[in-house]
Amino acid sequence: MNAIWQRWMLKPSWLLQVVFSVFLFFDAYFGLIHNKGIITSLGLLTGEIKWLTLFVEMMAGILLLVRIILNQIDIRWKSTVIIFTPIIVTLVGFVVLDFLLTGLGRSATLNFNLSSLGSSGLYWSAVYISIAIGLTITYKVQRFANFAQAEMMLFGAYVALTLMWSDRFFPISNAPKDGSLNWELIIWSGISAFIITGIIGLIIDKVVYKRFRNKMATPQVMMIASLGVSMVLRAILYMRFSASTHRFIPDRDWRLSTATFEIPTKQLQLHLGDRINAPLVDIVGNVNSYGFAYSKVALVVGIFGAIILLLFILHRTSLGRQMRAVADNSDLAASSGIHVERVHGSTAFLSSGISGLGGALLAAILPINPELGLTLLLPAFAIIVLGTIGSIPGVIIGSLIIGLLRATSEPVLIGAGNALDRPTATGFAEVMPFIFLIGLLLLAPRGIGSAIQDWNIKRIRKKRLSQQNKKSPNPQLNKVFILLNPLSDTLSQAIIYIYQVKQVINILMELIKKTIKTYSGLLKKCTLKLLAKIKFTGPSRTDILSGLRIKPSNWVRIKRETERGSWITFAILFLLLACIVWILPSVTTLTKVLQVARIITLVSIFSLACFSLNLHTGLTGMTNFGVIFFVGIGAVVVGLLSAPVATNGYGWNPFMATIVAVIISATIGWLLAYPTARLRMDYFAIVTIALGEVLRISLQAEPLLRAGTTTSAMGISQFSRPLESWWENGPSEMVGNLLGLNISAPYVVFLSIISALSVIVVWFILNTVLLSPWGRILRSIRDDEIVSQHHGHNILIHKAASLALGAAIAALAGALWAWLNTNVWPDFMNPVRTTFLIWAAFIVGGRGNNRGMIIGAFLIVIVEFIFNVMVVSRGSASLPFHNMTSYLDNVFSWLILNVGGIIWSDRSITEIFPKGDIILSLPHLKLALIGVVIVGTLLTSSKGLLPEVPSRPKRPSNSHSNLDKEGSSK
Amino acid sequence: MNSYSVKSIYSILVLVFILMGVIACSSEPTTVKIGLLSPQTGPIAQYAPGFEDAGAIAISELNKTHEGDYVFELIVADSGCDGTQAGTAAQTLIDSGVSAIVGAACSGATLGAIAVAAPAGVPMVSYASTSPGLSGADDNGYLFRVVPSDAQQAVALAAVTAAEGASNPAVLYMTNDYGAGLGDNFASSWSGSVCTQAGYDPTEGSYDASSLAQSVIDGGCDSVLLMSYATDGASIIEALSTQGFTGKMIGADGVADAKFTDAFTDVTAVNGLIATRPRPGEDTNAKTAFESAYAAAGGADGAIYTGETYDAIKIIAASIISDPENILTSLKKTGTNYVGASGTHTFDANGDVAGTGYEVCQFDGTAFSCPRTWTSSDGIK
Repeated sequence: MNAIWQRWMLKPSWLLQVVFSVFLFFDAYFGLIHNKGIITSLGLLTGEIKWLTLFVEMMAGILLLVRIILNQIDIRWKSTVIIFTPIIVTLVGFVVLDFLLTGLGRSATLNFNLSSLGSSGLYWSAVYISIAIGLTITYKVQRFANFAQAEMMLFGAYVALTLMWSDRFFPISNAPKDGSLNWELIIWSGISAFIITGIIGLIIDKVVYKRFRNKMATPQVMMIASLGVSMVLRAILYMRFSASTHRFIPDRDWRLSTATFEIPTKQLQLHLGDRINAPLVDIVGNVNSYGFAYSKVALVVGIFGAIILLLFILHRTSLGRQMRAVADNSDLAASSGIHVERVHGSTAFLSSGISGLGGALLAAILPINPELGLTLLLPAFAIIVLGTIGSIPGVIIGSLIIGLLRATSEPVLIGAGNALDRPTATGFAEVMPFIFLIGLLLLAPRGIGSAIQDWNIKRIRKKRLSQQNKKSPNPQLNKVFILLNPLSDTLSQAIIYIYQVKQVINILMELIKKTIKTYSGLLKKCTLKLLAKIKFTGPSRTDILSGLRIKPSNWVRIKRETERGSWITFAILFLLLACIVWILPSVTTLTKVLQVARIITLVSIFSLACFSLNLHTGLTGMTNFGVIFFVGIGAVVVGLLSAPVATNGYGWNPFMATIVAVIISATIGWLLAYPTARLRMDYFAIVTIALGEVLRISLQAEPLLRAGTTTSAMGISQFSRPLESWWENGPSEMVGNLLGLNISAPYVVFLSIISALSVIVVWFILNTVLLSPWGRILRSIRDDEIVSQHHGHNILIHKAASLALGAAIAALAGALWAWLNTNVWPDFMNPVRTTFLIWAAFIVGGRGNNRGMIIGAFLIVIVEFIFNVMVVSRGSASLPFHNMTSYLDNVFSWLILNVGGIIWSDRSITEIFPKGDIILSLPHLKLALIGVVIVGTLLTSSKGLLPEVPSRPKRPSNSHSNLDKEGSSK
Repeated sequence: MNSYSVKSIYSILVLVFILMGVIACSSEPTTVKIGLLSPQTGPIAQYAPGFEDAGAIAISELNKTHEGDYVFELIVADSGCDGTQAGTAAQTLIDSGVSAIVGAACSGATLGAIAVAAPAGVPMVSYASTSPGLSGADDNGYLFRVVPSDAQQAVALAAVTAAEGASNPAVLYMTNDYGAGLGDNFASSWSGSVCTQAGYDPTEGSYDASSLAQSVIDGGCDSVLLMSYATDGASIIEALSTQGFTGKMIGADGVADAKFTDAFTDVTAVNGLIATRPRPGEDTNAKTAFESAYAAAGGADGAIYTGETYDAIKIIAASIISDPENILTSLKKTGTNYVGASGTHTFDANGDVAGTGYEVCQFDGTAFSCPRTWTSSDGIK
């Protein structure tokens, strides 16, 4: 026995994996078809959960097998196979679906209208690529994933709308139908969207990103800064154009039901599952032709045309060569005389411009509102990861694949969903790109683009080799070439002609450049003179300061980067925030108690989520954009398990449910490490944000994740909360008296006590853990993964442990969150309101410092409350801030009417503010403020309010006391 | 500062307050603050202006009727269509002294807000949360709503579908409280076969109207049931018309409005659409009066649940006037056969309304009319 085992262990590990995966496959197969196998026999799972588990098991078995084949395959074939992985993944999906349906004895008919699929696929890929191409160019040259790219697209859309509302063009869009298409407005809006969005991108690049480049900021920092920028931009759009949807109508004839290209089509029927006398594939020939709307054609042609132009620029012009040079090595490019900043500027212009053009054309198809940006950004991220970030052919192929997948997923999900009693399954169409991406990354962690590049390099190499080996040209071929001679002559003539034209253009360009240079020089001189004068007359900063008798150097006495200093800063900031809580307005003692309890609970929830993020990102260095994923798992599991049995729940005790939720979340965190820990930083970020979205959509579309009501309505509600009846029958009255209420204290008071206790306990555990050698290992992984590996640490295990611990903490936050809201609704997982806020708290509070996390969370919650007070103050003159909000409104309306009015027409204002009074949307002002704070923090100190206290080895006692003295008294 | 001067300042302050109180009692009308939770941010932010406009109309009418006795103030807060944000907003509303809260729109937000409002003793009347989950919520009886749960409209829709002679309808619905509730309930009350069912997320950029339309055509369905809002409904109807669909189209109250045509670019596509909506009270013109007031005030286009918002505020105001000390009991009293702009409302023990049947409306060309009605007792008439 032992000998056999020994021999097994000597086999290569992939063989074991093969056995494992084949076992998984057959176990699932027997489970599905014959109702036998390990999962079925255990009898733990029943009904829908059972077949879902078997479905996942079979999927995992097959994907693991494919992965082993990919790893073991000969290097010559590898890249070719990787390029075909999307098809493999799709086929695997179909096969497993067929097994599932056969096992259940159901049949599904999937209808594919071929022309509809093709044209819808093209439409979706055009939509996605207009963001993805900008993302990829930015990534290629500037090396960061730009969250603000979708907002550039929206800017383009709103440029088109503003143009439509202008006095010159409005008559065109408002003209009655006359049967003839008018091109004027759409062409002008495309061009101006490109230029104006490009200029906006350029300005943002020069104002924000240039400073980061000068500071040699890491891609991670720039990515987060771009998140802040995107918040500001989206908020601006919301404030100016409101949240309501608007359509861009280039001409009324564009959207007539007859304004389509009729494409003849065939309908393909796929019968899956229990096929009774039906073939697997059936072609229905006699179907109406498919109408491809003109506006969609305009988008597809416009975007792909622009991308071809872009490819031309990249490969045939000197600007393109410079861009590629900067992308490869910006230092080397600078030393060879390339003006790197200028290249960055043109990159920003081009990438934003193309997205803007896409936005303008998209506005003619979809009703536009600022919410659209985020919806389209995430699939675009999936595309660039799929096609290997920074690879342009990759992004084109990736977008075509994702577009086609998006178009195919709707008929598939409708067919399969109806067969499986899941008509809501269509909701998953939105997240299919992510599910597909995650499946693909398991197979090819570097994406398709790198495989394409490898394949291309090999092809070129082979071509060179065969050219070298070629001895004499084929005589027969020669004859053909002789015949072609006149053609080549004309061609060469034409090339010479084109070259001459190009020279003339170059001369003209030089001339224009020179003129601009002289004029700008003159302008510069003038402004310099003017500035000098101003400087001369105005008092300098030091004058003012000395006049006030303040010495700036003595302002900050506390060294925040020492242990004691950090504590003191923490105490001061905490007390300050607590004071603000104290003075927040309220009515009676009861409402004040409710308010404070709510603030304590919210701060605790956000602090726990921040702890989790800090562990993942601040200490281990994994950029986790899916905090809400783990929080959501906690909330969903707790809600489902403790909801009443009668309504689709499990009726557990909430404490047990919490423990199980924490364990499940930790397990998922641990497992997540295996496929993702070796991914690049940005891949990991995108995978985690995608997971959060997948969970949110599952809450919308999966009936198993609904509980608490008698019908199959959405959301999880009516779950029991911990010790609720004990509290209401016991101590609540006493606490109520203690707090000076006339009635017994509400449950939220108890919840706030539980939350505060959990924060303290988790904080203590984290501090103990992080002070241990393990904490230092995590930091070393963050600082330099390779060095840490050289020291003999198993990076994968440590990352997995960190992910698991963080996920467990986040799940606890999720449980508290579910108890506070008394329900888990899909909308609670909106990343703007959760993940991004948690990130803001993390950045502002101070990365790597748990004290900072609490301050950051506290700050975010207080800002929320203050802005709410401001929003509410509009309603009555007796409320605080009322005058301030009306003043803000006045400033805003002055900006819209008098400043902006120079650019846009009156109609564009009245369309948005139909009643004439221009009101500033304060919730969006808050969004902008948070964005500004993120960018500002990163730009100024980049370490946050409470920077990480560097852990130093203990020194001899006398020098240690010196250090302490410095920290406290200086 | 010694203790004496502190004391004197205190006594002066107290005097001033007493004086102010006396003045207030003698001449000033009573100020009543009513909170409104409006989804200014989040997925349905585009409908917030409509709710707020309807609320403002109700308040200005109330102030006109009760001039001299009462001053009503509408305090609007952002619910964000999210339980957490709505809870915080409800807390802020309560902190600013509202007597009752109207809201919220999204069911998750309503549940988050009632968790704050019920302990504080502030009643809430929702104007748009249709989820059945609200009926059994742990609200101590503080939660009411003026929209009927979806179950009944689904029965009405099934009756209309059968009356139109459709035998094999496709059901397209939004995957939110409103759409999913209607869709599920329709499937259970419809006895015939369903050709295909598909849910979609109505956020722009999340769904593909032409794919949905194509699936209806590929399935060979003879009719379409559409549980949608105005914007997405118009997109789907336009796509259906583009793909040459000629069957019956039946919608719910999300599209049953004369202003639905505003959401179209090619308005001819709406021709033949049949839609149900809650029936207004028998012998009253409350609905038309509200609609003309809304139009006169320049209310937002493409709005939903405006009549409900208006009614909720009016019911709250009436109960406050009748018994300011005990709004909860007074609300139950007022909310019995209350004839409002969105129908006749009677709160049951859960705070829900049953509704008084539905109007069956249709678009002939672009002309909108509601010639028939449906009631649970009489069917379609």
